[in-house]
Amino acid sequence: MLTAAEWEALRLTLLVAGEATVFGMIAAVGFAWVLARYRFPGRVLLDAGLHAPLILPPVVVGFVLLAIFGVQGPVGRWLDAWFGVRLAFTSAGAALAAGVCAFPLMLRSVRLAIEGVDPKLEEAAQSLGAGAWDRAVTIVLPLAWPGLVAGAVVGFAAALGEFGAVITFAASIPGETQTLPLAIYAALQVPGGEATAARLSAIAFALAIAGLVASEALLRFGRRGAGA
Amino acid sequence: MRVAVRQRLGAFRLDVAFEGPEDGVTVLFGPSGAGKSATLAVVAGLTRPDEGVVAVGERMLTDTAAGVFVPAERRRIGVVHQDARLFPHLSVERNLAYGWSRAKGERRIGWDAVVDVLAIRPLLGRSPRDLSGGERQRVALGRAMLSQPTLLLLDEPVSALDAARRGEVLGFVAELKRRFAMPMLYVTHSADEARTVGDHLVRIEAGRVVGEGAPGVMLPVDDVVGEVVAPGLVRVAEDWAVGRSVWVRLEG
Repeated sequence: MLTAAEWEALRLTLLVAGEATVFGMIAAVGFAWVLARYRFPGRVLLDAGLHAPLILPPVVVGFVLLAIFGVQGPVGRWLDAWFGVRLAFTSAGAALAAGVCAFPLMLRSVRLAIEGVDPKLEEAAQSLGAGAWDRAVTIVLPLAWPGLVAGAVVGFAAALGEFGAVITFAASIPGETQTLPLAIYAALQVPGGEATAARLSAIAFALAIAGLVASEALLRFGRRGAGA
Repeated sequence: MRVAVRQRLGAFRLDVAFEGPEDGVTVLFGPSGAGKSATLAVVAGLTRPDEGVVAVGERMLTDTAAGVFVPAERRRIGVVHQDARLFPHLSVERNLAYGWSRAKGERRIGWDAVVDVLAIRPLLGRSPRDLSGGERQRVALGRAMLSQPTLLLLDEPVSALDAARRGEVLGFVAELKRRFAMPMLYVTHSADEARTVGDHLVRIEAGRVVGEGAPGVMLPVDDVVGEVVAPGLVRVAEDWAVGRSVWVRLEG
């Protein structure tokens, strides 16, 4: 049904968006927690900085990533020298670019969810003998679960569709960094490529539907897991 | 139980000192905004006083001069509020198990005993959402008791209930005190409740202790003739044990 190249683009897209979502969500929970629970100097600045990818053109995000994580960039050079890891023009780099652009959306959703948990319930848990980590795992995160799922779904969808940052930072290398949107764009650059573009677009559409179905399942799982 | 703390909370100054019996109910009595709940928060370890001491039995929980502050999760002080604060994502049974499973090494108060005294066995499989107000308070009492506290704090535990439920839940509180010899600190602004459950009464006004003594002496019954419920209808007493009120209809 799909050609080998189309399968490859699909696999790569899922990999890139999946990595972007997993790592993005871990960072989002951490930063959301800090922003929701602590007051410290520079908090507003941190908040604004974390939201920057949302308001910057994606190409600029890609360019900034290149400046920092590129082979010549300060972090990129260090990663290369110490770990032999290169991010620019690799699928891990595509995931980083997609994840950074999707991050503010995940952060927003997670933060609202954490702030929405009644602090009185946490106090109750504390008086019942639960320490800070214990409360986070048994009270706050389960109650914030719907917001976490929503954040992951929105983040995954955004990472799936990220174009500008990925092509700037990771280029459009088939089988390595050419995710669906990049493959669709590349197909349209070739005369007679409309059919390929249409098929790839249909795949993107199917992915979006699958993502929604998966999020419903996750929500139901969360409700059952919570024992309510 | 010994409490002597000072704390500045915005414009409000809390400066209270009192001692309560180790095996009985100490009532903190006073109007809203007197500092009763702030005192409870200090005893529970949810807030740190500017200076002072909190001790339960021989155990020093807060002593600002010596730099002692046991965090709330290690105080073994149970708290019940007027809003039961049950965990909405857990069943009644798992709410009860929350403190119980975190007090494994020090269980003196048995699961079955508490569940039976509070008559909450039929509720175990339910969700807190599906409980009535009185049932919620009973589960909250059970959850606090099963965390094996050395002191139970009750912050207006029946204020949100109607008169009948109030009497019923107060009956359960009295039963817990009798069965488990549990010292309690009971916050209320109701003279009826204070007389019903209290062994010792501490009267608080504007952040200060203004009197201490036996509830019957501090709040003589003829202080309060009754409560006008409707024109011509006065409620003169409430029998907590059966949750029934005595009404007098004024005629003529």
